[in-house]
Amino acid sequence: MTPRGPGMDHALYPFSALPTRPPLAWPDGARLALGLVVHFDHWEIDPPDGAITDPRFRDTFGAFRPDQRTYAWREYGNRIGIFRLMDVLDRHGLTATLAAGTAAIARCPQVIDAALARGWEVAGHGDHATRMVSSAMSDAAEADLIEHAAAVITAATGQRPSGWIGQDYGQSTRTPALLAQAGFRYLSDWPNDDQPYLMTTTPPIMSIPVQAELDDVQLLWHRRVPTPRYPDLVTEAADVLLTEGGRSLVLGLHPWLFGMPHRIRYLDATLARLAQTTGIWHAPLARIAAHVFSEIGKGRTA
Amino acid sequence: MIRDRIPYSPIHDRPRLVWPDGARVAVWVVPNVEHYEYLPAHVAHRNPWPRMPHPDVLGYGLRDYGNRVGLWRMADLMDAYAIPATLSLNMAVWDHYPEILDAGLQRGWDVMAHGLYNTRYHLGMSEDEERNEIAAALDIYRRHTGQTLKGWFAPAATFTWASSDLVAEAGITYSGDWYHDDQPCDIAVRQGRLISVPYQMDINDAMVWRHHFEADDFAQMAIDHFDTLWREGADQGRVVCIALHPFLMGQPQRIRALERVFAHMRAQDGVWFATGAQIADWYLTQRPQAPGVQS
Repeated sequence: MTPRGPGMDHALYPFSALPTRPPLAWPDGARLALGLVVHFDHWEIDPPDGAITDPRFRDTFGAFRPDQRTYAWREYGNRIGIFRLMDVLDRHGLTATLAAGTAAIARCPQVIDAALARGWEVAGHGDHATRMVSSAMSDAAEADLIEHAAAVITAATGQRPSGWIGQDYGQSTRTPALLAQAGFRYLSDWPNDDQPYLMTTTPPIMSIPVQAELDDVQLLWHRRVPTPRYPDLVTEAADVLLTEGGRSLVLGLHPWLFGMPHRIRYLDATLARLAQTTGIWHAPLARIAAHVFSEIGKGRTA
Repeated sequence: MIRDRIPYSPIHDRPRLVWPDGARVAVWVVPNVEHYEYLPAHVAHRNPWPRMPHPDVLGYGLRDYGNRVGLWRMADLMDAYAIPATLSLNMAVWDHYPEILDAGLQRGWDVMAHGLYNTRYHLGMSEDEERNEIAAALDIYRRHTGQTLKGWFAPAATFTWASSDLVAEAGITYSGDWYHDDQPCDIAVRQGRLISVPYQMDINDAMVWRHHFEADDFAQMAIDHFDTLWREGADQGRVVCIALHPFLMGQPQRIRALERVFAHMRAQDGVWFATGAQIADWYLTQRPQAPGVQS
């Protein structure tokens, strides 16, 4: 039974109303930190029994095997779409965090090479697009998945990842603790704030909130908002956050979706506007986390 | 069973694909000309008319509009813009409607078989059952034209694990069943050679229609799609597919939006308006060896 009393109905982080917090300063007097997360993962044509995917990805007419339609569409993202995203980010001088699943890293090493050549961060992202982390996993299986992801990324990039972005926002009740124990410094799965905050794990892991309402999959795919509305929605959010100051904005981008030929110009238009806006600090999530940790070290209480 | 029919190949790691006359893009326009059965003979895995006990006059009648009205309006528009069509054709349509057969033959429209009926799903079929369905579609084509069918697109995009092997085995040259690339590609099959000509599930009026977009949204999507691929086609030839259904874009409230798309594409240079078979054949002349085959 859910205990009814002040505070959260779990112990992962304490409740904190945003106006009660001290101001959060960004480098160079910026008022908004902007992080871009590019999702890089492999969708299996025939996932194993028990694998959990978001049911909203099912075919319009039902769930069928082989799932050739989704498989081919996702493959488009890794063959073509992701390079379109890279071109657009390059044009605007932006550096992303690549959320990289281990199966995609094995299948498409050229994408890792292209990301590293651009100075992108590579973050943990599980193994397959078709296998969300959830409480249906055993403790040991989840710990293995996290360690495997860290090891594969370390081997592919020469650097152990400091961040974790779950596949389709998949977590179990254990995920933050297991990530913290495995040496991850931050995760970005919770759409519950406009500022990074610490979780109660040992050691404390930082949650960099993600603006899931503007995540391309949530907005353009699941809710089918027309893509031409994306630039205004994002820049409206950025404008409000800039006005308030000391805020963060994390946007999720999927190569199979925003990398499609008819959508890419709207991402280009959005990033052109954001890149020209003063007061925005663009950084991969690891740098945002490092900055906030440093502020906490100087005495800021989240 | 071949698990991975499309081994990874990033677009930038390929030799340049050049279209005839140095065109930037090959455009194929694909009206899906379909017959959905009034009383589907066999319902398993997926109910074609889930709204009510069969028949469903609303669902059936809307599709029937495409063959009685929408196709002819769309054909006039394609004639006016000299756009060659590749029909994604439920082959039974030719037996039911000789008028549609004649219209296609007169115009030299290409045909990519879309199974027999759009209510005859391949889901769950045994290899022999699916082989027979494919053979029946090829027979209809041969009976009416005396020629061999080149293109295949699974009816209602329903697949088995063997579908690509079976169409290659039947002598099909190209498949519209893969949407994983902007260029034609080899699809790994047990025997023979099968070329994917990129079809569209995104720039597809039926997919858009299911998600409360309207024709002006679709026209903008198609134009944006074309513009990106045309721009990128300067470095690497690309395929633009516009997937249509006469029962949808052939409606009076939608046809002018489609005209805007055709006019936009016709106004550009460097565009090769082609059929699926022409694109596949051209690709085979440019890539005479299948990948992995030693010369």
